[in-house]
Amino acid sequence: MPTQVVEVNDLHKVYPGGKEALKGLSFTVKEGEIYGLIGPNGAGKTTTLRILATILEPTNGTARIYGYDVKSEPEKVRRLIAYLPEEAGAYKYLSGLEFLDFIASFYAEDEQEKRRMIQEAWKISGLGMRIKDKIKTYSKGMLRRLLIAKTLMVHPKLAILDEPTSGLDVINSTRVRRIIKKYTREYGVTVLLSSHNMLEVEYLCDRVGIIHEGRIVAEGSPAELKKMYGAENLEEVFAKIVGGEEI
Amino acid sequence: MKSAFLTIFIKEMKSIIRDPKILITMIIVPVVLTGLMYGIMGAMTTQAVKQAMKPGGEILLVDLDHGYWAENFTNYLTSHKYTVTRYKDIDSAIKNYDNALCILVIPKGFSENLTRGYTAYLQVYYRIRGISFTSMMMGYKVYGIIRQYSDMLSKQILEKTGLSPEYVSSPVNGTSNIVIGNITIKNIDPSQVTGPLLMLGLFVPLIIGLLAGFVAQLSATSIAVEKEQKMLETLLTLPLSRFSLIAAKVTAAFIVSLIGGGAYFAIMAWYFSQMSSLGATNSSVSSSIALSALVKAVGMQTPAVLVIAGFGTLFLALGIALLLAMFVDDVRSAQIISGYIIAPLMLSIFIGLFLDITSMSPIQQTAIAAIPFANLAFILNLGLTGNYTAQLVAAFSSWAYAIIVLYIASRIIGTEKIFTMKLFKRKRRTSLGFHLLTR
Repeated sequence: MPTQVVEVNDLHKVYPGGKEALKGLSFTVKEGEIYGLIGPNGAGKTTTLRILATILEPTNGTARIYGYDVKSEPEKVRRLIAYLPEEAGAYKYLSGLEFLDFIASFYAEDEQEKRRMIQEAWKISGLGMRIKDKIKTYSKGMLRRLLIAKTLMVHPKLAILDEPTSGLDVINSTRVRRIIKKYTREYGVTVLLSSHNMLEVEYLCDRVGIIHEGRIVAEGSPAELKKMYGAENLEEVFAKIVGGEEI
Repeated sequence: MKSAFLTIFIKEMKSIIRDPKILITMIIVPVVLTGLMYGIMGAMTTQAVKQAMKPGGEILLVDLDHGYWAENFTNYLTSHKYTVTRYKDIDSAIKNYDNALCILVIPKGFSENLTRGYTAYLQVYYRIRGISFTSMMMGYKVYGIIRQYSDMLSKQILEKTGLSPEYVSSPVNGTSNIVIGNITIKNIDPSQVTGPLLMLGLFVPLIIGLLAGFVAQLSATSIAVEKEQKMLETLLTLPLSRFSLIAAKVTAAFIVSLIGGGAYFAIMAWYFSQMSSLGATNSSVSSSIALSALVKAVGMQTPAVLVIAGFGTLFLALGIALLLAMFVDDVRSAQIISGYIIAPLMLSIFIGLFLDITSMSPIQQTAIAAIPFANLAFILNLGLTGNYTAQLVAAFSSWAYAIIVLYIASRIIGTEKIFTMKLFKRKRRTSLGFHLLTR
């Protein structure tokens, strides 16, 4: 039986001010799979990912990564994960290479491992010699590739990617998707990602959880979901579930 | 492998050095402008004093006396390198008054008065050309030469009577002795004591206050920049201790501020040494003896207490700014909010400088020694009154507050409050690009 990397059980999150973002969310992610959380704006995707990334604390319920509770054992969780926020940036006065060196320093056991991580990230990013330029000179696509590279170079047990292609043009989105697909398989990384792009989810994900108003309302492989809802693609499934079909 | 602390520290230093917003606007420009300001002021003052001390210059002379002493005075001027241009009356002299030092009128009866033993007066017309320091000093130059001539005549007159000129000019005089604390220093120029006292009691607290402002702005910036550059989320999911993160940021901000503050201190010290070298001292006591007596009077520990309290104050300013910057979204807001808090605290140093604590009871003194920032201004007076307990309170209370504030900061950065709590919320951006910050 495959190991469960992520176990989320009856997760609740109430923000200061009373806004209830999660209302009993439960799902699991198995080792080696790419799991996609999809849902409309405000459904609770980013809140879920932030809780799993140990940035936010759940109000109720549990969230475990490889058995470690994100609330009581955040240090152990952080050694297993690499997180890419939706609106992530980087230190603009560092070069791409210096930035990778900075991130790798927290994960590598020795200089040799750090060099290996940086070389891999350089290759993944496809930035060539521009890696030596200051980050402030990078385009949005270049920055996102650098950030994907820094996330994958540490070979995390779990990569948490929040909208990995958000705001990118078609060419850069395609490049980022290919990178995720290729290197997560190559390194054996389990991935939990969120996305609005159904094509992306169909292309990347082994299983999908549709989140609506803080709960998982449907779950399965893209093929299973399409069959279950008699839809030709995930967009139709999504529209039927969240009630956007009439619009 | 580098520790997390060292990794973040190196990154911080690179960011500060490479970020023109920090390096140029917060450090280089203020230091260069201050250096230039003091440099120009120092050079102008020195030049003006030298010019005034240098004999010579043109004097327009209107001799209405034509007597022996009028001629004698005129010869005295020319023998002291002054060029004398004669005019028949004041009106014509005023019409031709261009770059000359002054118009000197020797009134009728000048020689007769001197011969008979009465005081004779010269009329000096001095044109004010502006409010420059040089212009003011040139005015005094004329009175200087009249004083010299007068002294010379006094000596000649007194020598004829057989009396000592020194005795007649000052039959009663005083010597200056200073009592400070339990120490008495004899035959000392008061400036030899007031100078170091002012340095310890006024300039050092003010410089620490200035430095505290620097430190606060830099530390607030170092946290806010993580949010502005959208790195905070990533940073908080990395396998590193929150304490390392805070400690590295604090250290980097502190070191850069010390460099900036050191530059300020060097500029001010240079300026004041330039100014003090312009004045001569009449003391028979050497500066080192005066200084050692002073240290005995205020206590050997007072400078050390000032240093300890100063560093505590800097760490407190740094901690407060760091804490506040956690609840704003950008560098600009962080600098505004840290300014709101640090400015009144710095003002308390000024208030402390004008507060006379020597008349308070020891308990009251000890209580107010625990007021952060303001206590810097009390340390010298506490040394003079011999209240060493209050000095200890002043030395370590700021450290205690700083440790508490930094502990709270390191606890908060480990929680979600850094994301969910906001002091300022950016509401909207106007068409002119002004940011409206609302609570």
